[in-house]
Amino acid sequence: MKETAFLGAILCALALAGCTALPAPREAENMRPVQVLGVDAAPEGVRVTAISVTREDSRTYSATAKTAAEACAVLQAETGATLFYGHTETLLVGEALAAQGLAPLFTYVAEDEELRSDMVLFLVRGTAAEALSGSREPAAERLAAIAPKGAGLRGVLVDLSRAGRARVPALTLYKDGTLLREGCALLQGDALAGWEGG
Amino acid sequence: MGFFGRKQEPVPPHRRQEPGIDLPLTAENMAAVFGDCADFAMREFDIAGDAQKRVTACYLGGMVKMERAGDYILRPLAQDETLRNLPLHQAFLRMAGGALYNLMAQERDDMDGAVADAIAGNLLLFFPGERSALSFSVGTEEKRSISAPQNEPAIKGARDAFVENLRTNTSLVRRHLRAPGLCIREQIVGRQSLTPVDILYLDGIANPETVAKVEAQVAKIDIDALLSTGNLEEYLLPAATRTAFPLALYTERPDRFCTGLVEGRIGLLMEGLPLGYLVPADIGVFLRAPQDKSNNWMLASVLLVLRYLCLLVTLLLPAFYIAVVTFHPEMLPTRLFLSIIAARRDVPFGTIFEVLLLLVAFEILQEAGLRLPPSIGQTVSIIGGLVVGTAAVEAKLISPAVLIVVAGAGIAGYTMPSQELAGALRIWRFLLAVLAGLGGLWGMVLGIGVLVLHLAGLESFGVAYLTPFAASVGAQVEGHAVLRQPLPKVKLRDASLKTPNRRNQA
Repeated sequence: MKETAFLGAILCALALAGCTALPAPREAENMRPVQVLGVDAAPEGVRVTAISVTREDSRTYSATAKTAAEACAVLQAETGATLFYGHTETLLVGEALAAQGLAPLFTYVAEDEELRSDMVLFLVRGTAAEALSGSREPAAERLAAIAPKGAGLRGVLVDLSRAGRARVPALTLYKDGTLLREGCALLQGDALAGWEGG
Repeated sequence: MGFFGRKQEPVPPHRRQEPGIDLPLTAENMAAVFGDCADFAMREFDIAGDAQKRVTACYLGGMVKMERAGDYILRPLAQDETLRNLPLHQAFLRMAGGALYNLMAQERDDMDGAVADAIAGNLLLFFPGERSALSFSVGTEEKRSISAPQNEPAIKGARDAFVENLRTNTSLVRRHLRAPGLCIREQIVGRQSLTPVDILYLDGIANPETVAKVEAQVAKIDIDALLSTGNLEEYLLPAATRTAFPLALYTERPDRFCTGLVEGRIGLLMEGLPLGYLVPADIGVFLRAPQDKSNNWMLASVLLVLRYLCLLVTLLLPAFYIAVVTFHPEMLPTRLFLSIIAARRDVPFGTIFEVLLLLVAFEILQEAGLRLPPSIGQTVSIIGGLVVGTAAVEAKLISPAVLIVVAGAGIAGYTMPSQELAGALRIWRFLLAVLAGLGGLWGMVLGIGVLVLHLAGLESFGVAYLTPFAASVGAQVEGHAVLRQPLPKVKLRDASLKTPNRRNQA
């Protein structure tokens, strides 16, 4: 009797909250975890570059759309596998997009159920796509090696919200394919104000 | 059609006939009752060779020890000269008073009692003209010798175990507990089996109300035969039919049984079953192994914590795996997630189906191993577990991760001291896995909520099943719910048992 009442109460609470369907299971083998996400400004809006590394291979996906959310949706549609952003560790943002302002991108990251706010944020001198494709070493491995400890997107957002400005680690791709962390980018408001060091 | 199949025809009530055999107590009627029994024997004897004083002996062959009957009853009957000179009625009274050497001589005046005695292995003497018969206990004592417990091995402790003979078992208890306050009350259960069931408790320590409840519950059992443990458990505790969890603790070790009695529990022993029951029982009792009190308290505490962890692992691991891999992969470390993706490549089944399939396979393997003789059972386990498991992984029918999860959950279940608790956990493991397959962690948590609610609703003779986690009846909890304190510090008996005397040491 108690069990029935408990279950009834739970089901009523769910129905009232609008949860009328069970979540859909996703099989792991059909998923491709995206470890690195690069976002650049493009004539159409935003260009997203995603790198997915598994035990078998490494793949790079790219799509352009008006917003980052749309670009990710296009990526999903064009890719056979389900791209999974829950394990994205690094977010690269191109110089041009940073100059335009990052508020829409930050809003998307905050609202997306998979992307984490503790991923490492880099601002790239040039474009993120070039940095990811031009690196001599596999980009995901290189970025994991040079990522600063404890400096995540969350810290940047906290600094921006409290002080209105923040320092973000900067990346430079040299002509010989060397990808280096050099200096910092200075964000004022949500836009790139300048570079420091490097 | 009813919900569970064809609608059943009403059956007449199971009326008990009192008295069972409504005949005068005579040797002829005894012969009539046992008319179709090849083992029934009846023989006439002359008292001290006097043909005028002839008595009739009735007994069941195989139930009576012939040497004992000959030496203690028939020899004095035939040779005692003092009986020759007495009238038959005086001889009857003399024999009832001890002229025959047997320790137990009872006078029976009804057929039911006489027939029950004959079945119990007594020899009955019928005197012409007497309305009563003399019943002498000369039964055989064929029984298994006391051996070491098979299912509860003692590493550091007493190595005797209960046997099928009730009196041997009560004597074992008496040897461990020499207190005169040890009470043994007997009831006969089963219309056809007439099985003696003994209720044991320590006067002044066991709660009299609980004793009365147990006695009333045993008295209410009106079944054909008490031959298996289920016949007692399900009638003793009606709630046992509504749950998979055990509500009465059984043990084959007299030392553990006596520990329960000293704690204030009530014990039950029955003829034909080499184990004893202890009630009331809560979930903590089923997680304590008999050797816990033999081990150092620190080691015992660590092992207890380990057992509780294993309880969670065996119950939740398959469900947690399903939930995390199929619904919440972001919870996994990236490297582990990549390993699982690689392991699941080319596996044809979905994760949920794969886990459930392997859980069923695990149960089949376990059941097959149990039903076979030990030597073959081990072979089946090796072939099933190692050969088939490895082949299935290599053939990409199942992923190694799922194999590890299911095997880990199964092995964790084997750490449970109570096989019945482990069995209940196996059932709930399935339910939780199915719920996790439907709703991920949400479904799993819902299942856990229902499980906790279910456990919180259980009682064993008035003691909450989740004692002392959820209900300590406002009294001080002696010892600890999970850890085992040093015994000198545990000076009070468990409050939930409502013992009249809580203090257990100076």
